[in-house]
Formats: sequence, structure tokens, C-alpha cells
Amino acid sequence: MTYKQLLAAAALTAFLPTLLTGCMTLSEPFNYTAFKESRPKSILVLPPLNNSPDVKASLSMLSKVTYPLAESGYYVMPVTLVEKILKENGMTTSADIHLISRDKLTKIFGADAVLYITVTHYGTTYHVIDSETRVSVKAELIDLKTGVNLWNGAASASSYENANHSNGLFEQLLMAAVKQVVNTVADASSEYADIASRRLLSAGRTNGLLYGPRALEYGTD
Amino acid sequence: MKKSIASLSVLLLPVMFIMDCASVPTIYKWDGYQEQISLHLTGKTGPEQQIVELEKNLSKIQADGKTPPGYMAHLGLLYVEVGNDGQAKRCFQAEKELFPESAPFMNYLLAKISK
Repeated sequence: MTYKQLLAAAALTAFLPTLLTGCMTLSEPFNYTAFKESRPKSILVLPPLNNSPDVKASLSMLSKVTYPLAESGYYVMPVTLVEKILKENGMTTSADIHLISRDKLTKIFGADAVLYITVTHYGTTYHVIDSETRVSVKAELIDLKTGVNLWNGAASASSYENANHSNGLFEQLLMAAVKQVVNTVADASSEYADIASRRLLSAGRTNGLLYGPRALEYGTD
Repeated sequence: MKKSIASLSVLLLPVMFIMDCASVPTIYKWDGYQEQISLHLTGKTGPEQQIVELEKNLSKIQADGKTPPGYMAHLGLLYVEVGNDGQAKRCFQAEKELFPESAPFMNYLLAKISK
């Protein structure tokens, strides 16, 4: 091996563990007992509560949930229609919407479970030498029949991650893929909303959602 | 020669990892559908423009038999918005056939149109 080859090989070997740890995080395992008893097939996502100052946050986040939930094997109640029907029924603020009774939601939408999302951070913060665009969300999945909590989780995506390159390769690929798709659409925060949504709602992640019935992996987790 | 094979395999290993992660097959064919949801919710494109876009992509998507959840229903909403109730019904019906989970909601919408 030449010196150059040796160097390349060494660099790649050092890179491998970062790859592996990128997929692993150590945390308290989530208790999936209620989730496994309920096994919802369809999920109604209500317009998220917005605790950030940006009024666009709620609908921006709502527009990003279909892909990860559907690809995790769930039927997602069509979000544009859900928003429209709620509006027609005089429900224009997320705060009011999140207070609608389970009975009423079941009657109109007939979903198995409802996902309540809260946007805790959305937007760009300007510091002295740089700026950070970050989106943070948390969510709670509730069985619409029983009212039992099936799952809750939280996720973030930040422009700092790009700058630091501290991620696993999988994360970098995911971000690159999202970037391509979103580039044409909207503001910077929207891109991070997409990444945060995929982190929050993709099945198969540590303490994430279980796979739904339309996924091949259904019942294996 | 042996050495070069060894270094090649070291080089290939991370590549295999990348391929493994990147080529995860999707259940559905999306073709910009989620982007259309964004554009609709933010009011950036009107229903006429979206109908053209969605109908254009639909034949491609249907050829693969992988229409994503909500695609037909969203198209139905667009037809409601332009006042074409006949097409809207067809779309809500199609959503129901593709995804029986949507039946209660689609029936609610179909009943609204019939009124």
C-alpha cells in the first residue's frame, strides 16, 4: 500500500464507527403496551399548536406529516381536507381544534387515532456571528375510541447540523434528500420542518412510532 | 495485487453502507404530492393549476399502482373548489376504494356534495 492508500483506508476505518453510532441513541425505552393493544390503522393529524412567533409554523408542519406517516404504514386522513372541513365547522385556531371531543372527531373523520402536534420552535435566530434556523416539535398519539395515550415523541432539526457535520451518514443523506425536494417550495424553516417531521414520525427509529399495517415491517417491531 | 484488493474492499465497505441506507424502497410513489399539499395550504397555487399538475402525475403514479394516501381525496377537494362536483365525487370514491380506512370521512364528504 502506498502512503496515500494507507491514509485513505485509515480515514475510512475511522469513519465507520461514526456511521454506526449515527443510527444509535441510548435512551429509556418507550413502553409500547398500549400501542400494541390498539394497533391503529388510520391517523388523523390535526393542525399543530404553535408556540413559536411565526404564524406559518402550524400549516407548514401540517403539510409535512403525510409522507413519514404513510411510509410508516398508516393511512393518513387527507390533511388539506381535514383543515378545510374544520374551518367550515368554524374551527379556525389550533387551540380550539385541539379541544374538539373525540366523539366528534370520530363522527366526522372515522380515524383510529389522532395525533396532536405542538411546534415548540420554528424560525431563524440571529446571533452575533451567525444564525440558526431550527424547528422543534413534539407530538402525542391518542386512541380515538378509548382516549388512551399510545405514543409521544419529540424531534428537532437545525441548520447547525449542516455546519458541524456531526451527523451520521444516514442523517446527512436524509437531509440532502429533503433539501432537494423542498428547495423549490419555500422558506428555510420549511426545510427543517420537513426533516423534523420525518425524524418525529418515521417508524423504526429509537422510541419512534411502530410500523403501521401497510408497511412490510408491520408487527415485527 | 492482493494489497490493492484489500484496500479496495476497505474502500467499498462504506459505499455499501451508503447504498444500504439510500435505496430504501418507498411504499408509494410521491411525485411532488407533499409539495402540492404545502402549496395548497399556504395558498401559493390555485386549484386550477394544481388539478393540471396532479392529473398529469396521476397516470405515472397509477402505472406503478402506488397512489399515496390522500392523493385522490386532495384532487377531489380541488374539484370541489372549482365547482366540478362530478369529478369531486369520482375522486372521493376512488380514495375510498384505494383506502377503505378513509370510508367514513369520504362518505361524509360525498354526502355533503349530494346535498
